Amino acid sequence: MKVDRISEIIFSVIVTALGLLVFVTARGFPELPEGHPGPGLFPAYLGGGLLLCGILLLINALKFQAFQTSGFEGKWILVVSILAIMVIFPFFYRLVGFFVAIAFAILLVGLLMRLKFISAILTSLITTGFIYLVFNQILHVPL
Amino acid sequence: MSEIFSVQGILALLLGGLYGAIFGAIPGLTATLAIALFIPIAFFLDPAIALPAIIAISSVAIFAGDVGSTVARIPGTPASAAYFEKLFALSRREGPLYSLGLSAMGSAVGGIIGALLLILTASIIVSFARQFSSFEYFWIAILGLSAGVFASGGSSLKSLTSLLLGVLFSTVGVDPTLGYPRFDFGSTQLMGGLNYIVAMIGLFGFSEVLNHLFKPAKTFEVEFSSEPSVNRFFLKPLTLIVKKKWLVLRSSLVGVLVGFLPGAGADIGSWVSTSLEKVRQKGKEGAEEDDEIILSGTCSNNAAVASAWIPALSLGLPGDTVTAIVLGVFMMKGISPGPLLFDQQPDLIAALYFTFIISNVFLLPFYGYLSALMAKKLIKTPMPLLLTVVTALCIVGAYAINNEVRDIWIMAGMGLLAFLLQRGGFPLAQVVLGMVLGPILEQNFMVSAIKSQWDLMSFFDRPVALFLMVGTLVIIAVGLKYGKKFTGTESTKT
Repeated sequence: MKVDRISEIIFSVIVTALGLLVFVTARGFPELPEGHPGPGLFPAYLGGGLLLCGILLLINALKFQAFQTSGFEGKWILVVSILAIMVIFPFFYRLVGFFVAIAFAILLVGLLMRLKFISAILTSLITTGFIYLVFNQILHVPL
Repeated sequence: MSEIFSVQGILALLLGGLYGAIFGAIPGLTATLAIALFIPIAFFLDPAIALPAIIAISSVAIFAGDVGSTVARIPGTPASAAYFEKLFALSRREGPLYSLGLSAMGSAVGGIIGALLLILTASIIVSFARQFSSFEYFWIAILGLSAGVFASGGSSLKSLTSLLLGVLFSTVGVDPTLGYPRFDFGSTQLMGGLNYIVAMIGLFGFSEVLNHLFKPAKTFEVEFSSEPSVNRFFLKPLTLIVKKKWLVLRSSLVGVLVGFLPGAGADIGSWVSTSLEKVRQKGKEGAEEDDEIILSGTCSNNAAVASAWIPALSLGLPGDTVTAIVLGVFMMKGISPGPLLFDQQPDLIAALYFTFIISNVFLLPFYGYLSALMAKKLIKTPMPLLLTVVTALCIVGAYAINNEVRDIWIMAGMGLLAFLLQRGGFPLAQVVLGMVLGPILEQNFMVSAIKSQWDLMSFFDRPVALFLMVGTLVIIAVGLKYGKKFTGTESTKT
């Protein structure tokens, strides 16, 4: 995957910030008796490691020859829409139950993927039927 | 062992092989995705049935990745990418049935060699591992992580970042010393740790859906006539394999060695093996050289599929993403990989060995022939339809593991993270490696440190621990010097 310079800089800043956050949080974890390192030891090292990696990535990004293509040019609206379906799903599930919720989610995802309406309906019904048969009837998973 | 001969066992193998053939043949769907979507079903099956099914899926899917290369010049899986141009050229020269036959027979022979070495070496490593204490397990985890940094073939710095992220995820939940909750954000669900299987479904299943939204829609030009000829598919390729027996053996051994490295897997095995073969050919080009490159790649990738199980079964270290998921299945079922597994579940081990042989001797040639006949249809499966079904399976998979609807959010979050990491050129296999090795590393470090009253020199006292430490240093030195020379790939998506 070729990545452009701006994306590299954004990634390195995120990694650095995450490392710093983990390091600071880990310093607040308790120690073992007699002052030996405890639950915070590994997270602190991991935070420190991420911080260092973030800084090195940033240095690399600043020296970086920019590529023409970016890994981030695409259908963001579709990504956000599918994530929104995932966020809403648990609430909808509580209202109508698993099978209606999953059938509706599949229909929406199908339409977002630009399936024809009739194909989306058929995909939704067949997939929901498959899930019911395999998980509910054969594997006895309470859905 | 008896489960494998039951109706369910045979069905699991047959259906697993078919499922692997379909996933491998469709460009963009990987063996890892096939396994990730299978986990929710595996969770509810007996391990003696679920694990052989996983072996059948991965063995057949890695071969079936060559269907796309042959029919439409599109490698079905990254493991096929190392030699797909040669395979396509061969299919134009000698016909697709012969080129797929060469791929299937090469895969089968490579897989059998990998499986035999798995059978031979796993028990040797296990007897070695019986002497391990927490000090040695700590060094084993360090060695695995070090190898993982250089095994991706891309930027070592990005691999290291991915590894650290993976280990960080493994620290979520109560810590092993004081039982103190870490990074749980007040959620009782996260106190028990990040559910490994839910995370895997997100990392390898849902992220693929998001990834495909960023790929241009492709229409495959298919020029394919599949004359059903047993001779072209089976006999002619086998004759070539016998003629090139040393090349087959050499490539399979390279695949075994690379597959053994934590985080490397079949695609790196195939790149390393084909690169070495090109070096041996010294720039010569021709039909015979092309056949040799194809044989080298196809033997090594299936040999690596089997050998990735050697460290997974004997030490609990994943050789690739598939075995990382398998270790997750072990965890879910309360099975500890390593010497204990060999002592307590010899039947399961025997069933796994048996399945590797069966998969390569019968399933791979059978589904190879079948997928060669179905290639034209498989390659044209509409991607939007598949992605819709994959999304549904990710939702139901994440939910079904704990009957916890909020797991869908964790799955989607991990999927988004994997999608962003891949866009940024960070390898995913290293995240999983970190998640698997993180607890081994921390638990054994803390146990050893407390046992030795924080005398850190005790980590270098024991001879085996010292040997493992030297091994780690050698891997780092070799990785820094030769890491990218032979791994001409940027991702480790099997």
